[in-house]
Amino acid sequence: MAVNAPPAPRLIDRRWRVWASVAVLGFVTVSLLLGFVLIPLAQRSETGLDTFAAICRAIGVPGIAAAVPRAASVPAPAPATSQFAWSPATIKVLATADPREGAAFAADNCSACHGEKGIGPDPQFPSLADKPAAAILKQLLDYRSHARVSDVMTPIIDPVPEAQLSNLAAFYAGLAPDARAPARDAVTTEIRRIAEAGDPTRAIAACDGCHGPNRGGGPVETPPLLGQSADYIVLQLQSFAAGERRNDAFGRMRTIARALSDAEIKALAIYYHGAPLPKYRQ
Amino acid sequence: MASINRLTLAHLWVAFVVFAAAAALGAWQMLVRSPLPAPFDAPDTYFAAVTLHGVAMAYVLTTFFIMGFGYFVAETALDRKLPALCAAWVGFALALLGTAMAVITVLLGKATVLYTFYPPLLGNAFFYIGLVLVVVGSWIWAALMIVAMAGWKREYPGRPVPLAMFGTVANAVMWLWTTAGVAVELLFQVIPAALGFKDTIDVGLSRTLFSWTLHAIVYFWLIPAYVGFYTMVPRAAGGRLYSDTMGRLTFILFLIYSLPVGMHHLFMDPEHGAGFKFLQMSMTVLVAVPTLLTVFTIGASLEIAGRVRGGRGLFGWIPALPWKNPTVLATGLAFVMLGFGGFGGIVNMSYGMNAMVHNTSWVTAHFHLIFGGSVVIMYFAIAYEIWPKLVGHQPRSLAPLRAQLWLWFLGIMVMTLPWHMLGLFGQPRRVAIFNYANPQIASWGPWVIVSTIGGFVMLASALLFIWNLAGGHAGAPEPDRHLHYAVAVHPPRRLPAALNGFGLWNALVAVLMLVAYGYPVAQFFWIEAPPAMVHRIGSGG
Repeated sequence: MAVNAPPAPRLIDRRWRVWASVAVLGFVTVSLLLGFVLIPLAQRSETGLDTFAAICRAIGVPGIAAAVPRAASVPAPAPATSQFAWSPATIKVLATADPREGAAFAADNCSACHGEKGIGPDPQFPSLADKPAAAILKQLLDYRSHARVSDVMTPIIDPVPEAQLSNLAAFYAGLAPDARAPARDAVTTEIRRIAEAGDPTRAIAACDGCHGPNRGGGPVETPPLLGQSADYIVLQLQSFAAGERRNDAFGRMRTIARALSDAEIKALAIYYHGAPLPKYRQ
Repeated sequence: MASINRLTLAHLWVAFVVFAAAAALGAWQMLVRSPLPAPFDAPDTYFAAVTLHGVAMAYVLTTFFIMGFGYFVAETALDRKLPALCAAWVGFALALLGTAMAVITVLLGKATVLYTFYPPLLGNAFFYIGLVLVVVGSWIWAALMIVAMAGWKREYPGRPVPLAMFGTVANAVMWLWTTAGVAVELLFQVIPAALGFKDTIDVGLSRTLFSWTLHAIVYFWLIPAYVGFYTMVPRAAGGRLYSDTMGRLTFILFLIYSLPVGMHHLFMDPEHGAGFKFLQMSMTVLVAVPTLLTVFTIGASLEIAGRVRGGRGLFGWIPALPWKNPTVLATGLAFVMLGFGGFGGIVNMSYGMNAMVHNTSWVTAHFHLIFGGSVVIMYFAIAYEIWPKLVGHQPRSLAPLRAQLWLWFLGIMVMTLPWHMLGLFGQPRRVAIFNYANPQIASWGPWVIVSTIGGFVMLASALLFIWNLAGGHAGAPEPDRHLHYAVAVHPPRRLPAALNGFGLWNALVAVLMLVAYGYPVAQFFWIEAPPAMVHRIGSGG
C-alpha cells in the first residue's frame, strides 16, 4: 500500500462512528453535569438543600426534601374551606344516581322549603328545579363536610350517605320549571354588561361565563342562575362579600361579590330571577 | 413518470386548497381579535376556527405537501420508479379520509380542542381517529421513502445517495421517531377517554408525550424547505452548491437534535425536574447549528452564482443574482424571515427568557413567522419550481409569481412583528375577544389592527398562489419534463457510510431519547399524582 493512499472505507466508517458518538455523547455528558449537578449545587445557598436532595430535585424525584421555608412576602391565604373534588368515585355515584329514590327522600325532607316541584314557596330558599345535578351535589357535600354552614341544612344532611345525596341531586335536576328570560328591561345597560361581559377594571368576571345559559367552559358545579329566587341570590352574594359563606373554590365568588355594590347585587338578582316567557314563545 | 406526476399533483392540490381555506380562517381570526367589527364574532366560532386553522396548516398542508414532494423527489432524484405506487395511493386515501373526519367533526362543534388537543379537554373520538389516519398515511409514505433509498443503494452499491433524497429520507426517518409520542398519547390516552372508556387522564404524561412530537414536527415541516435550499436554489441562481457534505450534515443534525428537545415546550410545567429542562434546552441550542450551516452554505452557493454572473467586490455579487427568478427571490425573503424568526426562537428556548413570553402572543407570532414565513414561502418556491415538470406547461409570466412571494413576505412581516410586540406587552394567546374598552388593552388596539392588515395581505397572497398554480396548467408546453437538481462544486464520489445512511444516527437518536425522555416518561408510572377529570367538548359538562 502506498504511503499517501486514502484509508480503507471501513476505517473511515469506523472513525465516523467513534467521533460522532464521542461528540454527541460528550455534549450530553457536559449538559447532564451542568443540569443535574453543578447548577443545583451552585444554587444550594438559595434552596438550602444538601447535595443528594439537590440532585434528586433536579431529576424531579418528589418527596426527598422540601425547600427551606422562608418568610412569605404576602400573608398566606386562608385555607379553602371546601375540600370538594370531582373524584372518579363521586362522578360514578352521580352517573348512576336514581331520581326515583331521590324523589321519595325529597318528599319527606326537602319539599317543605324547596317546593314539591323544586320551586321554593319562600323566596329566601333556593329553587332547585332543573339545576345541574353536579351543582346540587357539590353544595350538599359541602354541607356535609361543614364547608358550608346552615342551621337548617346541616342537621338534615349530616347523616345522609353520598349515594342518597346523588339521588336527590338527580331528582331535582330532572324537574322542569316554566321557561323564563332574563329581566333585561328591568335593569340598566351597566348591569347587563356585568352579567354578559363582566367588568375587567374591577376584576369582575362575566356572570354568564359560568352561570349563563350556555355555561361556557365554566366548572360543572356552577349552577345557571336564570329563574333563581332574587332574595336568595342577594343573600348569597352578601354572605360571600361578608366572608360568611366560604365554600367557593379559590374564593372566586368572594372576590367578585366584594367588588359589587349593594345596588348592583340587587339589580343582578332581579335580572337573573327573570320573568316568565309569554306562552307563545315557550 | 406520468403516474408519479399524478400522485404528486393529487397531494399538492389537497395541501394547497386546504391551505387557502385555512388562510381565510386565519384572516378572519385576526379580525375577531382586533378592535374592528368582525362577522360571526363569537368565542365558540373563534375557537372552532382556530382548531380548523391549526389542523389545516400544521397537519394537512404540511403532511400532504411533504408526502407529494417526497414521492416526486424519490422518483426524479433517484431516477428510478417508486416502489409500490399503489401503497402510496392507499396512504393518500387514508390521509384524505382522516382529514375529512377531523374537519367535519370540528365543523360540527364536537372537537374544539385546538390542534394540540390540550387534555383534559376532549373532543369527539372521530377527530382524533381522523388525525391518526393522517399519520398512518404518512407512515406509509415514510416507509416507501426508506424502501426507495434502500433499493437504490442495493442497485448502486457504494454510490452517494443524491442529496435531495438523502434529505427526504432523513425527514422520513425523523418523522417515524417524531410521531411515536403523539401516537402513544392518542392511542393509549386520548382516544380511549374520548370513546368513554375512561373518565380521567394523566395530563402530565400526555403533555410529555406531545412534547416528544411537538418540536420535531416543526422540523418535519422545515426539512423540505431545506431540501429546496440545497438542491434547487443554487441551480436556479445559475451556480453550484458550495458543499454537498454540509447538506448531509445539516439533515443529520436535524434528525438527531430535533427530537430530544421537546421539553422546551414544558419549561413552565411542574411535572418535570429542572435538570431535564436544562438538558433539553442545551440540545435545543444545537438545533441552531444546521440552520447556521445552511445559511452559510447557501450564502456561499449564491455568491458563487453571483460572481459567475459578473458580480464584483465584497457585496457586488448580491445585486448580480437573478432576483427575477421566483426560487432565488423566495430564498432571499426566506432568509430575512429566518433571521428574525431565529432570533425570536432563541428567546423561546432559553429556560429563563421563556418565562417572559410564555403563553403570550409572542409565541404565536414566532411560529407564524418561522413556519408560515420561511418554510411556507419555500413550499411556494418548490411548487413553482416543479409545477412545469408536473403539468407540462410553463407559467405564462413570472411576474404574478414574484408578486405573490412579495405579498406573502410583506404580509407575514406586517402581521408578525407587531404581534411579537403585543406578546411583550402581555397580550395572552388563545383568547378570542379582548375588551378594548379597558384602557390598558385599548393601547394594544393599533398594533392589532396593523397585524390584522398583514393577515389580509397574506390571504390575498394565498389566493394569488392558487390562481398562479391553476394558471400554470395552461401555459406554453414545457420542453424538458425532467427536473435537474443542483450539482455540488465538488460532487461526492464516495462517502463514508455515516453520510450515506442513517444506521449510526438512529442509534444515537435512541440513546439521546433514552437520556432525555426515559425518566421523564417513566416517572408517571410510579409517581402517585391525581389524574385529571376529562372535560368533554359539546356535551355540556
